[in-house]
Amino acid sequence: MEMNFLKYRRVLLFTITLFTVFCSCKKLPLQKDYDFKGETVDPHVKMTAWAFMQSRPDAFSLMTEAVNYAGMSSFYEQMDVKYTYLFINNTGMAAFIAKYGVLTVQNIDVEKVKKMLRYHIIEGEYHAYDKKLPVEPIYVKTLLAGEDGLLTIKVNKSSAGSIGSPIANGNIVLNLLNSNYSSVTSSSVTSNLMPLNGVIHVFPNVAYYRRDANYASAF
Amino acid sequence: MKLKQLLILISAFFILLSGCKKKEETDLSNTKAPEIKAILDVIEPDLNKADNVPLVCVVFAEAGLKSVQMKIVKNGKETDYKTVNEFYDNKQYSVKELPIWDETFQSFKIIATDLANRIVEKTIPITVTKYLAAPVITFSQPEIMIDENTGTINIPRTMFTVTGASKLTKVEVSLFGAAGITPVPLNPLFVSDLTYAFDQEIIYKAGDNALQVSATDAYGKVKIETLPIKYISIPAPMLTPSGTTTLDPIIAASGTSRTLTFTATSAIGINAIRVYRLDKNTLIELTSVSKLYSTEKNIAFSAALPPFNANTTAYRVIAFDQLGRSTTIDIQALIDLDYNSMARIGSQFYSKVADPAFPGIYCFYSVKDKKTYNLSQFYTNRPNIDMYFYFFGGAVRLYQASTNRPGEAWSGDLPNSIPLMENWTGTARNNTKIKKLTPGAYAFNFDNVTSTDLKSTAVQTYVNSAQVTADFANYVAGEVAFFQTAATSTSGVKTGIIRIESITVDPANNTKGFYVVSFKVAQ
Repeated sequence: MEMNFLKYRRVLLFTITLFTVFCSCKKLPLQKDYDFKGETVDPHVKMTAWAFMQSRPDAFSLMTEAVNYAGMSSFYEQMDVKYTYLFINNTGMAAFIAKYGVLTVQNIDVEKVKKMLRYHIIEGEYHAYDKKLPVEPIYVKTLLAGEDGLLTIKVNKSSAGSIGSPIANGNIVLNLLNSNYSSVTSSSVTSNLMPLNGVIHVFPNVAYYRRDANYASAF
Repeated sequence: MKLKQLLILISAFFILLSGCKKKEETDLSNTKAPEIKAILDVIEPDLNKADNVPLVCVVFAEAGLKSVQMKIVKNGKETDYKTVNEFYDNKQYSVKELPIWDETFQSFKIIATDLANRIVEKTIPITVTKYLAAPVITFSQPEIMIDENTGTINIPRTMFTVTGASKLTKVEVSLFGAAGITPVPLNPLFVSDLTYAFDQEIIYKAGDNALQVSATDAYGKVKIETLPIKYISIPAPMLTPSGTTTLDPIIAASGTSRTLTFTATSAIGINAIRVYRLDKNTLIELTSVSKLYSTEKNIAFSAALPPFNANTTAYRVIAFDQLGRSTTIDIQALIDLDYNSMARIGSQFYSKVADPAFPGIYCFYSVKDKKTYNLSQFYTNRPNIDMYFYFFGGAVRLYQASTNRPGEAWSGDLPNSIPLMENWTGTARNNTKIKKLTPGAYAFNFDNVTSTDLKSTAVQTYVNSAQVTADFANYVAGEVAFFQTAATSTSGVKTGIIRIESITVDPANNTKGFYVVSFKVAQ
């Protein structure tokens, strides 16, 4: 009789211990990397792409002029859909203007300027966060219709694959060599800025589609 | 035993309990249905190109994609092409497909299903440009046939057409023959179009073997066709000097005459043998001696030339066959000119003893005798030597016989009682005049000079003008000089012309060597 009591007491103790152990369980955060990683600065800019462009005349005064000349500011300030905006800094815009042998963007055929700007707005969000962009180039839909609108984009995830840019991880590359016929490769100088209406990547030159060396590009 | 079983059961219960978690369920009802956005509204593959634009579009799905199916519609039938169930980003998927196009493709269908099981599809039309054949080149005849044995050369017009499935961008014609490849100009001029018709009279000749036509279309497709040419030729007429007639120059006095004889043969018959007189560059037919024939194949031709005149430089005889082809013989005429061709003359090294290989060749030249003499002969017969040939450190010099080279041993032979030339006494040596002929200064050259030319006032004035260093020094092969022998010369006063044909200087002794020289002397 006493023996049975002892047995049941052991069972009771084991059960209580087990219950206590499980009651203390709580979901823990996932294991972090062993190596220390610094925190990134907040990429969000709490304004539209248009407001951001105007807030940085030191970098985008010429592009602002181009957008105003083309009457396309609404594309940069809309909040209905998310766009990926490919900004061209003043260096790139100056080269674009010089290509036409003129001094200001207003001396270029406005249709050419519109096409250029349309080519630099992509439907959807493509950036380095949340697996929104692979490391292999993909075709995306720009606002420029037809074959001239063909554009590929990718993100670099290691310095080994980075192309001529100070940014390695997260650098955005347009028209990677051989990914889009003979189009010239462009590499971002600033990337993954998050305005309220999409994403902004900044490039030091104008990208354009070119099927082959003899192809007359749209702009 | 019962206790153990109880413990196991309780443990299993808790383990199972610990794995239980309520599945998270997302409310997708407020998300938008998938959206398929084509980058190109129509795909237009061209089977003639290797670099067609791929089929590209982007599928957006706010709820996330479950699958993307792709189908191809060919000949009205839909076939599965590809299904994608795994996505790097299931909210925006980039489609890039490059099927092996063929002309049965009609459309490409994309069916997107999102996690809310909403299905959206889009059909992208495909317009295929069919494979276009390379240009077609058609000749109007299978070959060009020309047979001289027929007695007439009948060359047909060359005609061909080029037809392209797309616009022609280039047509080139080349004639392949014994002389190599010759481009043939297009007639009419090429204009880019679907067709081109060539029509031209090409004068083919013996040795031509093919006409090659190359046509290129807008796709870069090239077609090359060859039109064979069969040109059966027979030899041109043969003309051979016979009897006493040779190809050597005729050296004769004006007013005299000579008869030239030849044999002429032709497989299709001789048509004519024409004789011409060449007065420098002027060709004058001697119609009195030219003859016409009907179909004779072997002819013994004899031409009694009219009396020679001093302006004639050559005679030309041309035999024509029945096809108009000809064979020409030129015989140089030296009227009132004495001629010594390719005479070997030694340098001053050979003033006394000749080279065993060239016995009798010394440096002292006699215009009258057209040969060289040694120092001893010069010393004893001074009027007979007009000039001597000298290497000044290997450079050519032409000296009149009266020129001294003081102190040089070659110019004397003291053991044999011949003093150095500067010490010669007695009979004077000839003071021959030598003047270099500047190329282009006269309307004649060494080859066509006449005695009239040499006797002209211009030449006489020039040859008697003061000599400068360039007149006797630094001649090179091919250069020409005038000379005039002195009144004391055994030849008398004669005006002549010399051409230095070649020079050989011994590399070990630059005073030793030979000249090869040609002389013409007006009589």
